[in-house]
Amino acid sequence: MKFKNPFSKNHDLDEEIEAHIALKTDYYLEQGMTEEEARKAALREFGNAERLKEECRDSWSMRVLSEWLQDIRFAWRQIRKQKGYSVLVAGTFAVCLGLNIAMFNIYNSTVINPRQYENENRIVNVYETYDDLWGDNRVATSRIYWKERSEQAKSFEAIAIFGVDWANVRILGIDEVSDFTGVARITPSLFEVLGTQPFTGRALSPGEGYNEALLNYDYWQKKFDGRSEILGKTIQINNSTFEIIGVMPKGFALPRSKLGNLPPDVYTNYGAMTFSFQPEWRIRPFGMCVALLKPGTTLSQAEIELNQINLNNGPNYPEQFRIEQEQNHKTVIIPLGKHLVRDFVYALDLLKFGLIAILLIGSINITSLLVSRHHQRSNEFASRIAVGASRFRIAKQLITESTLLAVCGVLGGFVLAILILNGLSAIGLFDNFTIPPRDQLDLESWVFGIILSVIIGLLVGAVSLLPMFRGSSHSHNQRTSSFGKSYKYFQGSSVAIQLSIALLLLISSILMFLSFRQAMEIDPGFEPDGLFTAGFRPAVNDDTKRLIIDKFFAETEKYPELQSVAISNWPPLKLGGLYLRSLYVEGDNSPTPYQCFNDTVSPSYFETLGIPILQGRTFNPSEVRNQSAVAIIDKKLADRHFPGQNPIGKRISIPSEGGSVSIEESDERNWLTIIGVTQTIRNRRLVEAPTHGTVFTNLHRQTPYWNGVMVRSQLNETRIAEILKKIVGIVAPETGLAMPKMMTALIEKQRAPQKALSVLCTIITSVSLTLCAIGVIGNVSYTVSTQTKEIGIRLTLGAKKFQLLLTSTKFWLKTGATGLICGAIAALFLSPFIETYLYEVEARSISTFLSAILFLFIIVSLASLISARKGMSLNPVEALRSE
Amino acid sequence: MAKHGFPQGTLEMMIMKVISSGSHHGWGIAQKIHLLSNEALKVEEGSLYPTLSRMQRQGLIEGKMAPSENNRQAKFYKLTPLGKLQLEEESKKWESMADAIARVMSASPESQF
Repeated sequence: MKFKNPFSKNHDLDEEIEAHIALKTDYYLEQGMTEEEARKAALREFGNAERLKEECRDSWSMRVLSEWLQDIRFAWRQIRKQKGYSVLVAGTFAVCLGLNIAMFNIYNSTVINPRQYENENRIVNVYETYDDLWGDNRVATSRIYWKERSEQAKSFEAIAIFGVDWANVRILGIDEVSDFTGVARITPSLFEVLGTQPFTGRALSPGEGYNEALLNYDYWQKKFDGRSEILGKTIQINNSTFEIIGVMPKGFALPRSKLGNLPPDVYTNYGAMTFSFQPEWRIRPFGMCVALLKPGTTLSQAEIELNQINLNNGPNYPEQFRIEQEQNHKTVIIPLGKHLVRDFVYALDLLKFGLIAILLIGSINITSLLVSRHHQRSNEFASRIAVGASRFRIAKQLITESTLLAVCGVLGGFVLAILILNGLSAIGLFDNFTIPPRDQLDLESWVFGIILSVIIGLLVGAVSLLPMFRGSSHSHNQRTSSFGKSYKYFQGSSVAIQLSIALLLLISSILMFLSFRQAMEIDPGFEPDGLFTAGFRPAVNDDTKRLIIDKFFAETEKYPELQSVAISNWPPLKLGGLYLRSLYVEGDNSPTPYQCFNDTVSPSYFETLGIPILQGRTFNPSEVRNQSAVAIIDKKLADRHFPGQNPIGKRISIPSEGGSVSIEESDERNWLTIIGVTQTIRNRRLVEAPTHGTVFTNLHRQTPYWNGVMVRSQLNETRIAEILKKIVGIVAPETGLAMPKMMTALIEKQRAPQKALSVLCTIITSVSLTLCAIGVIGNVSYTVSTQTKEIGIRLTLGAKKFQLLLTSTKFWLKTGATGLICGAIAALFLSPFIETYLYEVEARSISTFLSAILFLFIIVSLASLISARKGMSLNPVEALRSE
Repeated sequence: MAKHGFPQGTLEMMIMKVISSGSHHGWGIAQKIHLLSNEALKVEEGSLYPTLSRMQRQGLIEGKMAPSENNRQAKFYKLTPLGKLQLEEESKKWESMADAIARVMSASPESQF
């Protein structure tokens, strides 16, 4: 059947009628009438043209439309008649949809389509893995790997490498004192890889050796109020000068995890750094590597190519190649989006899992609510079928009703999604995301929401109509009785499925909560409360550095409110700065050196941080002054290398100790005598137990790369920072105080992924439990209410109420038990998967399983008991009359 | 002269018959039925056009705008292949029905039992 434009049809009809009247007028003219009489007669005989048009239109498609309008009006009346039911259905739909849309928006704007960089779909992160070389399973790329790949790899359009470090920055002619701030060293190819262009000015010139710099947009705004005359000025970074050639775009962030990373204010050419391509730099982490895949190249193709390049070039560096082989070196490529959210990847994975569960519970709930409603109206349907209504017509009306409810649910869902996004953003859940999720719904999320609602609407609508089409309409009694029986089993199985899913979620949620509590209670090994951390880095030689450190401590003496002050190479939990060193133990002739962390600290370090000294003592002033060959080790190292022995007096050697970063072995060992054993601390990540022991050497023997400052005081962060800035201004005027932060804030930041996981888990579980409880209570009470006739008969025949109560609840208790057993089996089956999200919590914890099962069983028992009691409280006569 | 109440389906049948010999516009169809029935039948416009509209929707006839004898644009209707088949079937049904009714009506009182 062809559909024609209704407007053109209307026009044709008008013309046709006009032609008819004109022809009839001509006919009457021929009969001898005057023109006026003929026209009048024709019009009179034609009758009401408008009514005729209406009738014609009726036969086109208007009837279908008016039927729909009638159905909509009817559905709206039904919805208003059953307000509670309608709110429940539309509300459940809105909650399911709202949560899913909100979480899709988060996932889409952080992983799938962050719209951060022009080429982001083809940008990959490249990193190295070694079994046990650097104390981390994900290591930055070395400068030699990067050089080899830039020259030899065919899978990429461009490969870039970058790193960020603290530096003293001063714009000549403008700044009087330097800012101690982050400076990014990037390869010019980074602009090509990311597809980024400067906001103003130009990108870095290709090649090395150009002393050019670009400013971060916010830094430019803050320092120069957005004035463009900054271009061409000279900026001094440590001891080198650079020309300012541009400003990066607003909101630009380097493609890396934000957690624990320093945001740079200045970007310079990597080549401006003085570095060599000496063999030892082949396996030394240098910078974050990002690359732009050629169109059509897959991740695995590129990964295979890079690993082949590693193997081809390895023999040029025999010593490093041997270590690569021993340490099972691999180069890994992952999409940039995954890399950026890696700290939150568990939280985002969990979202997918939780949302599917909510969708299932919600859909089952809505289906059973619709089925209950249809069941309740089965008498009405049977009567209508008996007087000639077609099942199709009734089904159409029911679909209209469900669609109308779904439309209300969809609108509610979108509103809820916007509220959730704003709410999560307001509580700061996304503060540590590299790319904060968009708090406005993006186009993809709208499309996702609409597609999802159509799919759920169609599925739920179709499933809820199925029981209606069973049995014959001629035998109403038989039909309703078979429908009733199948209905009971339908409700039973939906309760069982809901309970299984809810149990799975509840168990996961309890485990996540316990895991979060564990993470909250992690003992970092030191006392974080009242501990202030910062740093400064004088770019001077070791002797001057020693003088500066001494002067620094002398200045702090003038402030008695600073109870204790310490300096180390790198404050704990600031991420980075700590790498593994080779360790030799006197008397142990193992051919391969052990690995250990090495930090260089002032004698006050342990007291300031509150790290207990378990054996021996800290460095004394003369050992510091004389740069004595003594060391303090932590318990982990002592347990590893001196089990059951007293390590005090034993000797160890770290070849790279003494400021050199060479990993070459030395025959002439600088033996260090152990003078103390301390508690092991969490030095890198709070949730990551140290993989290796630590050797502390004294500050004057091995001067720190930069000075991590730790202060214990009752003063607040601002006051301590003010004092320290003043002191640093005196002892190292060319530098500044970096990263002033209370340790508690650092710990809070480190807990952010667990917090995000816990908040999301709580939301998902609360919603699913509420939906599940509504489903269980609704199903049980409705089924009991349909049995009032049976109850009436039994009560009349003399059955005891208690007995009936038992019979009625037995079915639901059995159903509940079945659902819970299935859920428990599923949880057991999925426990290895759940365990990957947990921190120091056993996924198969019996107490968690039992408490979750008990909790849900109590809900089912109470729901069935209360509903059954309500049924039993009816007078037998009233119960019989009810149907 | 019957103004209303053609037996169900007969107006459609007459319309199909009229246009089976060539296309006609609405006025032409009404006039032809009027003349062929010796002015016994008069088709009301109020029935004619909704019926034509319905028959078009059923695919029995199709209409095309064209200038009429007084040069006005009118819709000329002609039978579709489906309409031709339908007309044949309806004609047969009508003939047998009319024949049966005629036999009943012409029966002598004796033959009734």
